[in-house]
Amino acid sequence: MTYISYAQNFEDVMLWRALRHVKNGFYIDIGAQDPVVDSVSLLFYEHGWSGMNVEPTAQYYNMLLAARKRDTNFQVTIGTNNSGSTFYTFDGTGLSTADKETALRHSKAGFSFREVEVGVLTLDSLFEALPDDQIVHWMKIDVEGQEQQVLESWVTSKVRPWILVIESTKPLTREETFLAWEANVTSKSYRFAYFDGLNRYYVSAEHEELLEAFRVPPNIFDGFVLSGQSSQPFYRINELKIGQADAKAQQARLEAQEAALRAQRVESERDLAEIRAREAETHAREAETHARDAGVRAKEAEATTEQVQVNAAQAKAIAVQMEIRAEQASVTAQNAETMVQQVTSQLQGVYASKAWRSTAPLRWIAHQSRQHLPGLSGRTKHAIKRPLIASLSFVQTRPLLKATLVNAIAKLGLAEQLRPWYRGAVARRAAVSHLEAPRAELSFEDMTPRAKHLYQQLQAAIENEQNRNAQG
Amino acid sequence: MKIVLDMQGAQGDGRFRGIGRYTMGFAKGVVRSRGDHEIILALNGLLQESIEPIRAAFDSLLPQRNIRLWHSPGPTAAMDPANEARRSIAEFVRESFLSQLNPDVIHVCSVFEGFGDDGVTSIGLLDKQTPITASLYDLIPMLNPEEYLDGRQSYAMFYEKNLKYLSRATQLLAISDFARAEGKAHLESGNLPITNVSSAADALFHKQPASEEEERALRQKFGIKDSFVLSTGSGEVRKNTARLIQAYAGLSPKVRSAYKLLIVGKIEGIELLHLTAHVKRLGLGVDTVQFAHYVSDQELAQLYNLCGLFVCPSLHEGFGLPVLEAMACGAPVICSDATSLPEVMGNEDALFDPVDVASMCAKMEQVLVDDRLASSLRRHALKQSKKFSWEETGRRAIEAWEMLSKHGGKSRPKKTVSEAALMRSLAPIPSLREPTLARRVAVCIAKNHPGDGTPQLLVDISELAQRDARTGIQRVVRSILSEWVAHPPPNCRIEPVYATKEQGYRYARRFMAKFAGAAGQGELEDEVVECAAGDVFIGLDLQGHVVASKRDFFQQLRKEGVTVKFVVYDLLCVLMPQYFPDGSADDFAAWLTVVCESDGAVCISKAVAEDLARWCGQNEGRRRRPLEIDWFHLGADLQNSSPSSGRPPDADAILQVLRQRPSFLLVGTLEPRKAHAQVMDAFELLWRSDCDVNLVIVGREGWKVEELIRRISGHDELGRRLLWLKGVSDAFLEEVYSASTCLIAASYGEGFGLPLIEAARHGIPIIARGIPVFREVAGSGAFYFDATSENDLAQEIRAWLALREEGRIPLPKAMAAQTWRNSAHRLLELCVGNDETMSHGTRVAKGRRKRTKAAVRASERSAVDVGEAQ
Repeated sequence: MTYISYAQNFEDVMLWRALRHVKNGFYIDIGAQDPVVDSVSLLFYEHGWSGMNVEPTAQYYNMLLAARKRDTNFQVTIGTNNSGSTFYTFDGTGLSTADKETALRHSKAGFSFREVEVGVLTLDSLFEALPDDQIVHWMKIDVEGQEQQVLESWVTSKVRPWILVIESTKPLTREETFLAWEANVTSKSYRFAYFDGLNRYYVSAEHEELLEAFRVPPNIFDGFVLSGQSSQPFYRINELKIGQADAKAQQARLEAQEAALRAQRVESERDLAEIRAREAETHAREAETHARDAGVRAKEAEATTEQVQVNAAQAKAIAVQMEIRAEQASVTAQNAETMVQQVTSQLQGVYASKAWRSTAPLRWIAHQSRQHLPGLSGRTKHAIKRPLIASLSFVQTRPLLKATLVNAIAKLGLAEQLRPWYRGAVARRAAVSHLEAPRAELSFEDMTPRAKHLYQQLQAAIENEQNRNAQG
Repeated sequence: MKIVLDMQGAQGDGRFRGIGRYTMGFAKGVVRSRGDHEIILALNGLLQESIEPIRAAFDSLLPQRNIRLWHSPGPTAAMDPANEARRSIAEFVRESFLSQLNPDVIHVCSVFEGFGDDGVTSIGLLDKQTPITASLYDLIPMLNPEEYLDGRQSYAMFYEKNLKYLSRATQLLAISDFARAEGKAHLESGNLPITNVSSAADALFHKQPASEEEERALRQKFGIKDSFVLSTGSGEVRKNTARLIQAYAGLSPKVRSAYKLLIVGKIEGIELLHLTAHVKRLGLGVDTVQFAHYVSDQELAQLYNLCGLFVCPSLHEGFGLPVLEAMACGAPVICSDATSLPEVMGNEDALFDPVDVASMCAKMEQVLVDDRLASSLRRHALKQSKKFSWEETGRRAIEAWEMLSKHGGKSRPKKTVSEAALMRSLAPIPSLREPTLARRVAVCIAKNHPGDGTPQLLVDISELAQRDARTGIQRVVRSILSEWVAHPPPNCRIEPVYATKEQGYRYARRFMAKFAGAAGQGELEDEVVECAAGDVFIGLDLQGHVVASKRDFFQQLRKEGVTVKFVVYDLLCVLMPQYFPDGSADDFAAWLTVVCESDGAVCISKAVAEDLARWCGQNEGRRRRPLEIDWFHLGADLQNSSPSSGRPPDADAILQVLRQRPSFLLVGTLEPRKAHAQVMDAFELLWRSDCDVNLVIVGREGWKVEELIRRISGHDELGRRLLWLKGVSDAFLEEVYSASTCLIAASYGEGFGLPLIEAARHGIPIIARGIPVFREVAGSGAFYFDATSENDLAQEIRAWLALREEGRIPLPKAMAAQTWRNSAHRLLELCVGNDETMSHGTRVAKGRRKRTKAAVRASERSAVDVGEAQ
């Protein structure tokens, strides 16, 4: 029978091969993330299984709540009792982690994070929340660098998942990390079964018969089809084929996508401009100081040498130049900001769309939970992020454009940095899948006569108001 | 008195929760108890998904035109500070809309709307005259800030602002005596009058034991094998679920082993974890306490009916609907003695102190061991629940409003908020200097306040106005339009409109100037169509692909309160796809789907109406309101449909051939459906057996008939006993009719059957296939056959010739030919209703009033009630 694989690296295919004989089985997914995109458990859920999902990120947790009615979902991190309860959230990415070192590494790469206090459960206490005698058929641990801490919190519990899948490479790299923790797993009588390039699989001693299932990698005899929704690049050909059918519609939306890209570019340009402006300011200030020093020295020297005077004059000239450049830079920065605003207002159409509204409850919940968190304010950057992400999902549904973009990004060497951001955006697409085209600019000609009349009335009222303000 | 109910409580995020239920129940109660008062329901156009369900829920209670939408640019949700400006705009726009409805009183069913969704409720910002009342549910967030407001800054601000609006109301209608007292004690404006109008349970909650099968399904779903104690929770502290579990743990082992505890409601995440841990700590088995997250109303009613005891341990309620619902289902109920609950319960013996676990436990134990006590509680429950009904609540509300208008009404000369005042209020909002937003605002206000009050009849003439395919349908459109232009109805404005696949509907002003012979008189613009509640759209012309591309637009029209109907000429394309070009059935089905989602279809015959009802019954639609299927007959008076004239050069020779021997006439385009081939086969048999008759085929070449054409063109008898008249004028056709002996109507399917009427007009007999539409048109005036082979048909023709010898053939005497005038009038009546003022013009034959009304709801699709024959 054909079934759909959702996981990013065929984890579900391998597990399904081993466990397809189990009816209504039970899983534990630690670091569950999105209920659909890259989900290891969805295949099982769709076949009647249920289980526990542990996901500290509010955004994904809320998506899980909405999508997984049969599952029990916990918004906690798993760790030893003495490990910190701080969770580092990278909004809209899959990078969020409880590992401070990892978080700092990402932040050096230019991602900003928020520190969030979430509950910490040991694996032992998570197991304790299981109904008595509950068999766990598989447990996946994908916690972006925290694997060791998770395993160390499993001390006393007698619960023994049949199969363990543990991410064994450093996030976003091929560097293997399992040496630090594998002994812990094997000491619990688990046998190494398989390495898929990203994860290591272990089978419990009581179920060694399952080892057989891990002899060969996923292959055509597994009879699966790809969901086409995973974030991995090799899924792209799939979408490419689907996409050819609606190449026409894509054309129409190209503008919106370009706007999004422009906004992104403008944002980075603005940042650059800001930095340059700041640098220029510093230079100017330094130059001024130099000039002043030079002036003082000039006075002190009382025109003893012409050379000093020339120096002072030059310094002054430089200062003036620097000032002019600073001004130019700040004008550029301002222009950039205006453009950002324009793009934002174009994208307001997205807000008005049905899908945007239909996800309102989800966002409300997300908002509710965010309300408890300190340090979140409505900065411009934050405000622009949502429309950007919304428009990126156009890119996601347009494979041809996406392929072009991916190429461009690769050439620019930005892939490593953009991928998590993109992954987050794709995750959101699950919630915003029927996004309509952004509302086009409403032209005067398309208005009814009465609306035109009212528009003029409103304009007149606004003018009146402005005049009154000018006089008063 | 004109009462406007702001229904947003049933539109936003809360529409599936308590406030949504209350709003719907309250509004229905008011509508049912309205007497002579006029009720208008005002809906927020931004909360799209809720509109059609509300219209459907009131479909049989209130005319659709009393449900009105208002619009303002979104999003406006208060949780996002970026919506601030649009929210302010919406507040003014909404108040101005409500004021222009000219109400005697406005009631806001829920003031606290629009934090996470686009609800907007303000009181007294712009309209400071109209008395405004609002429902008061409770002040729980205000009185428990640590749980609901602290640390949630933007929600706290939102709550506070709306609390201020609440206290600006003229009067509040509380859902219980307790809520009234709470308002009196804690609202700032202490002298604000508050009346208790109470609450009620939905009729769904009543005593009805589940069938065995239902019970099994229910038990399986919720994992309960034995008897159980039921409660509802939400994870909020005030629901007191933890103490309930503790009290349950304290029951005697015997009772506890007999009863599980089932807690229904959305308890999730960390709260669920806490409660499960709590269960474990108390030493209870995991399966003794069950949590059910998602329970439908039907299931909840069944659970109430099935439970051994219902416990409500809540610390704070505004009313306590679950208690009433459980009582209405006849469950033994005990509840906390806090806040509003004693008032709902009405029985001291069934109360306990919710913070005293021992008291709660003792009360539970008492009911669970004492059968007599349990059954006396059951009796009390049914009696007590009868005291609450939505009609009663509606009556109390109306009483309050009557008092209000009696006291305040006389002195105050009422003035609605003018457009100028609205503009003045909007002008200072800085964002409106941005033209796009300003235009959107203008478009919304234009929709909210339609110009003059005359309803429009928007007539879709897309094909005629833009291309004119000159098929029979455009002839119909032309004839009906001419009649309507010549005799305009007094109570509505006829507005022909057209659209393209790319563009929306516009008025066909330029075309109509030409059509009415007034071309060149001034510059006419084809403006964008502007419509309002009470207008009617009728799809008269057939441009299937355009209509199909406007599917959402038509739904939008219906949400606005515009009635959308289509004229249906036939369904042959989908019923007999083999006779049509490949692929046309799909396009046609797309069009039919749109028709079936509309308010009504007017078919050109009863037979088509029956076909349509059947098709709609078989094809699932997105419809919530019933589809009204009517029918009328087309006109048959040639002089009123611009007939063509002219004679072919060999006209006399043709007529001479016709008169030589009995001539059988086939009229209609050559296409497979008309069965020309079968008739040809039959006549070849007749000719071979020395039956001397003529076969005269009148009609152009259509589609899929290449073989037939080759056969006719190369036929031995062509020009002798077989004639093919390809392109004759209307005038010459008249002569052909007069010279013929009989009309054969052999078609396998037709929408109407104009040739039958024409034959009748010439008094020539008819041989017709016995399909419903021919029987409908010709009645007993035709000779019917049901031939499946050429042999059968030849036999039938011979039989007919024999009857003719004996002078016993049926004659088409009394076939009442409809005039275009009558036809157009009937159609108008079916579109805009038969208002008395309209029936002066033309009298309509009585027999034609019967309607084929197909109540094709999504839920009862089989209920097709076809009216009697005329």
